Amino acid sequence: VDLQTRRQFLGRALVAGAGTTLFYRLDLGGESRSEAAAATALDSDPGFLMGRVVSGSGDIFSLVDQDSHLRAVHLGAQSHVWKQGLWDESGLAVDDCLYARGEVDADGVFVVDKLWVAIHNFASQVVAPDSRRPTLLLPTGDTRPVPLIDRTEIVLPNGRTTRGDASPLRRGQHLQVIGFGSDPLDGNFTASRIIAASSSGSSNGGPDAVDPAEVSSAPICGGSPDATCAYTYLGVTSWMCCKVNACGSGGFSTCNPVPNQDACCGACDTSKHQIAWPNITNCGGNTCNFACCSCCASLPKLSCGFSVSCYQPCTGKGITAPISDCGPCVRCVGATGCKGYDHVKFDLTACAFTYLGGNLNTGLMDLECTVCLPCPP
Amino acid sequence: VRAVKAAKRSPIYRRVRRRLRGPAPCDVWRDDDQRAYIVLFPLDGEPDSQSFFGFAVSSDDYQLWSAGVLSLALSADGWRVRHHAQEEKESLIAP
Repeated sequence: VDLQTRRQFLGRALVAGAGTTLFYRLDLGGESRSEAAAATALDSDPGFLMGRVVSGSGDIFSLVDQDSHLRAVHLGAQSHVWKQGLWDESGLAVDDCLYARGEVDADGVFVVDKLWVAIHNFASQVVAPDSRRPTLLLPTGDTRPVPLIDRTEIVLPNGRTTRGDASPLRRGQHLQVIGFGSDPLDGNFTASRIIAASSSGSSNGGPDAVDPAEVSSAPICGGSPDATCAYTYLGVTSWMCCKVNACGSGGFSTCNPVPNQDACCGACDTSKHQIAWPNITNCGGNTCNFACCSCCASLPKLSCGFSVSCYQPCTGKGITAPISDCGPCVRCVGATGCKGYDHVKFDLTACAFTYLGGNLNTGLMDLECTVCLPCPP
Repeated sequence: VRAVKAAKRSPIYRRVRRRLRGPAPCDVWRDDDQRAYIVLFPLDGEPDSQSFFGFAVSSDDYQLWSAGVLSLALSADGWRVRHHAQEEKESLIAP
C-alpha cells in the first residue's frame, strides 16, 4: 500500500476511535504503476524487493521488506519462483527469505516476475576436493564441507558443465558458489551451481580495456574541459549483497541485514543499483586492489561513489551505479555468456544484477562498464 | 514538532512510552480531512502485522483528540487497518 493511502487509512481509523476496522481492497491484476511515479531516487529500484514472508497463502503474501515495511506480494500466472535449486517446483511459505524482481501495481502490490528463496552466493576456494562434499573456504575464512545434490551444476573453466559430481575441482581452485539454505556459515547450505575458475582467460573480455577503440571522446562523458574520455571495460559480473555474511537472502534473523556500514565505502545497499570495483583509492582506510585472483585484469583505481555506466550486451539493458564496495577478486571462468567474456571483473548488487536481466541462480553474466576519466596524453 | 510535543506531553504517552520501540515517532503528517496531525510511534506487534501507537492532535489548537493502538496487516480482503479496542490494546502494549 502506498504511503499516502496508508496514512489516509491509519488517520481515519485513529480518529474514528477504538474498535474501528478499515479495509483497503486490493485490485490484483490491475494496472501497473508507471516507472516515473514509482521511482523515488536515482539508485532506488521499485522493481526489486527483498524480505521475509510473514503471512499469506496461495498467490498473495505479505512480507516485511528491506525498510521494515509490510508489503503485499502477488504471484501471478507469469511469476516464477526459484526455491531449493529448482524453478516453479514449490511455492512460497511463511518465513521464506527472498529476493524478487517484478513491478508495483497501482495498489502498491508487488507483482513478481522472478523470485529467489534463500539463495546464497559467495566466492570461494577448494580446500579439500571431494566428489559430493568438497570442503570450501568461506568468506569468513572458515572452511566447511559443502554438500552437492544430483542436479548441482559444476561449470568448468572450459565452459563444460557436469552435474552432481565435483571431482574435477582441484585444491586451491577459485570458485563462485551459488546455492540455497538458511546459512552457509552454520552448514545449512547446499550448492546448486559451482563455477570453477582457471588461471588464464582469453583476450575476449580479457585483462585490459579494449584499446584504443574503447578509449574515445564519447558523449557519455560530456564535453568536459578536462578532455574526459570514456573507457569501457569488458568482462563478467557476479552479484553481491554488500559483504553481509556469505551473501544471500536467507539465514538472517530478519532476512534483511541493515546496509553494511562496515563496507569499504560506508554504505552498501543490496536493494539499490550499486557496483563493487576491484581497485579503489580509499577503502575505509584499507587497501583495495583485487586485480589478480585466478588471473589478472588491469582496471583503473577509482574512488567510492564514482559513477560507473554498465551495459548488459545480452539483454540491451543499462544502468549507472555508484561504486559502493571493493571486489571482486579478478578470476577467469568458462565463457558462457552471449559475448563470451571470461574475466570476472565486476560485482553488482542483487538489485542491479536482476535489473539488467541476470538470474541470481546463474550467478554470472557478461557486462560492459564505462567510466569517464582524463584522456591519455 | 508542536504536534509531537503535544502527544508526548499527554498522560497516555507517559503511560505507554516504556512499551514503544523508541522515543522517536516513525511517521508524522497533517491530515487535512481530519483537521489533525497524526503522530505514530512504532510498537512491537505480531510478526505478520505492523503495529503503532498513534496520536491524533488537532491542527487548530494542538489538543489531543484520540490515541490508541493501530495495526496494519494483509488479509484475504486486502489491507486491514484496526484501531484496537481497549482490551486488545492492553495485550498489545503489555511488556
